[in-house]
Amino acid sequence: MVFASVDFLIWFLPFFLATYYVAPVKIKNFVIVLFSLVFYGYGCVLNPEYLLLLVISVIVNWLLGFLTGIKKGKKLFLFLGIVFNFGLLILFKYLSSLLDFSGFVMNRFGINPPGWLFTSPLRSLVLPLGISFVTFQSVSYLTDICRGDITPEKNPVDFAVYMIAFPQIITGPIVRYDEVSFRIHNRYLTKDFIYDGAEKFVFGLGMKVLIADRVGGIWNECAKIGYEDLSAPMAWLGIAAYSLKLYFDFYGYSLMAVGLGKLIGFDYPDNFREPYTAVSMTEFWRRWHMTLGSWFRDYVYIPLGGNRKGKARMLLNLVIVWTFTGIWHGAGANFVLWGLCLAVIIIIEKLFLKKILDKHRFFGHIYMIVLIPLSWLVFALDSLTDIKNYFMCMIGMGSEYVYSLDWLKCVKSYGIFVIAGVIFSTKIGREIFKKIRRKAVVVPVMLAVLAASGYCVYKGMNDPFMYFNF
Amino acid sequence: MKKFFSYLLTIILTFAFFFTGAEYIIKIPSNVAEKKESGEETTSAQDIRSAPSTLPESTTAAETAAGVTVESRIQPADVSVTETDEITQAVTVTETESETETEAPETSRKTLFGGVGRNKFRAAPEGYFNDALFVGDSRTEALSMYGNIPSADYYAKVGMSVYNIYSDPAKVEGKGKIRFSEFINQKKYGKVYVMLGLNELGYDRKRTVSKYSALIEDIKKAQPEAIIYIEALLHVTAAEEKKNIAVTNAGINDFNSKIAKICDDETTFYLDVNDVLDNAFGYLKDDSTNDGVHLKAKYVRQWANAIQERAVVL
Repeated sequence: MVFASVDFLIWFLPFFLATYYVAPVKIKNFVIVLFSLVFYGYGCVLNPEYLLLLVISVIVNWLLGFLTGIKKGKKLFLFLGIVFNFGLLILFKYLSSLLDFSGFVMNRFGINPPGWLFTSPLRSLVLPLGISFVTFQSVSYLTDICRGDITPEKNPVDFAVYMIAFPQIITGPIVRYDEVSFRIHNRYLTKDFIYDGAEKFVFGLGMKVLIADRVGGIWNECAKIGYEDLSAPMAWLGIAAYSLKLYFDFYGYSLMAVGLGKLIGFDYPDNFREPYTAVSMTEFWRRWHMTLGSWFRDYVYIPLGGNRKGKARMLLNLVIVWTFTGIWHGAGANFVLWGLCLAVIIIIEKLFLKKILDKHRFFGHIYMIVLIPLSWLVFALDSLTDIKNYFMCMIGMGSEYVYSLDWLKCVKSYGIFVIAGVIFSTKIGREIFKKIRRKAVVVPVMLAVLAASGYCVYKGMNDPFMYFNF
Repeated sequence: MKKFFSYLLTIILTFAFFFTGAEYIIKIPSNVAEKKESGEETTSAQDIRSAPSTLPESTTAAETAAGVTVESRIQPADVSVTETDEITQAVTVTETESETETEAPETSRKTLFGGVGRNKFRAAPEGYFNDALFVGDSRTEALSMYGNIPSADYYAKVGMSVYNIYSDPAKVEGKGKIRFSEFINQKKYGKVYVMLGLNELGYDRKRTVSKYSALIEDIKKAQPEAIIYIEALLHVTAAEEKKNIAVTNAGINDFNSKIAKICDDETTFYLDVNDVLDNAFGYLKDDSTNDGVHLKAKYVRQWANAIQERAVVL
């Protein structure tokens, strides 16, 4: 199920909230788990075995939690846990790419790759919903137990609340166990929480439906026309629209998740902090998808030594972390390329550029305004030829079939949404929100946003959430 | 006591949730299907081509075309290629379903090389499109931008269908938003090209075809001296077919064969250029499109060239 859908807004959410608020405190967690299973099952109705897989994964991780907690052999169980969780992730997400890559490498060395490499039925496995997020949460849980930072969760229902609560199962944020363990066991709802939650949910919905889904139309136009046949203004407009769409999709969803969490008494971490106002790529990634960045920092970069083992090792660690960040986002060659590009940029910044950018912030903004769309270009397009063709269009060297006024239609239909997107990418949105939060005026604003979003959702004008392949 | 009621209420609500869930979820798709069959526009009948990666809300299993398959495009052995320019009433199609035996060969004759006999079509002379009008949906809109036929007029809008062409005005260059009924009476055209039907594939076919015929009649009344080209719907890719229950090449071919019967080959002609854009299996070539339906600029040009090669000069 998707938050921005009629089924969720009109059927699932009202019933869930009613049942949850009425339920006695002792079974509130059970209510969450039950509804989350329905939520997940609805999303994978074409592959119901994935619901079973999710339940099995939760049980296995719950048991492994205990085994990792005992003094002897905990590293072994942690290793088993990592193999189990990442094994599932690799199987469903990366197997066909790995097989392709092996075939490619074999060809290069003159070996004939075996036929099953390309025809194995395992290749066509559908990706289970939210597997990337759940995997990272379970691995962080087991690792934290092994490190002695937390004790294993004794109650399986409470553990399931941590793993599969519907606000954050499909699209994050990636939550650490210690961030929620207190509230899992001691829930208290205050008026503040409920107001906050409702506001965040409604505004998140508005961002996704009223901004992301609208500006996404420009990017779709670019796809329709063809990536080699765009005029330069259209190419830039297209990738700017994609940048806005990606941001507001994900930001909107994260905000909705936090809002829903607040409505049930949880305080999930924020995922975004106006990333498009950053002046360096390093700063950008500390404001974008923050829970992912901190996961990689705590469970990959620091265990590898971070920056404490000399400069050369630090550079290597950065390359490793960013390559895997790229791969986490997708199983294609372009994602690996994207990760490596980010690594190069961040290394250059760490070596000398960042100091300059921090000092001359205006130049930093210009630098990012150019770099962000270019980096998303490598992220957005699967095929390397498409990326190359699109880039050629961006520098005005598209094909002979370019229609030089193609951007005009998009500006007329979508211009206002792009402007709204740009405005809300800055701190202005947050400032406005702070000003109206506890005043009476917030109610009609929220109702207006909710009504407009609901109408758009009903009209079927919304896209499925872009990060669904994760 | 209070706790007992809490538990009770929770259980009641949970059951209500599941009960309504079963009813509600199962009901939604069949509601959409019902509405489609009665020809009403559902609110989600926005151009289903508006987002390449979205499954349209309006997919319905109700309308799977059982008609003409791809294979029937290939000429059967008994089609005579001796049709000459002296084609007379023998070719005139009767609107009624009387000649069921001769129906099959006539249809194939029409779909072969886009018209009755190759001889009817020839390359358009200079200035042919100065008094031409193209009417259609998003594909025609792409034609206006990338087809390189700037002298013609275009009345095209994303999502246009025979059901909304009169109610939803389209933007025309130099005129702004204007209703079709007004627009078609403003200027005298020598030829009018019509390509509609893709957005209506999920609806009841009989009703769509009859609305289509009515539209053609209206155009004839407004432009009594114009040649009317009924353009066959372009195919979609094999991948798009798999994604979308309503949009299949079988359905497209069935629709095309039905609207082909509208033409009389005297002033109304059937123009099928799919052979230029298809691969060997009768699907749209994979690399000609990014979303399975809309042609990339280079291929829009190919389509436009095919139109220019197959003009009727009376």
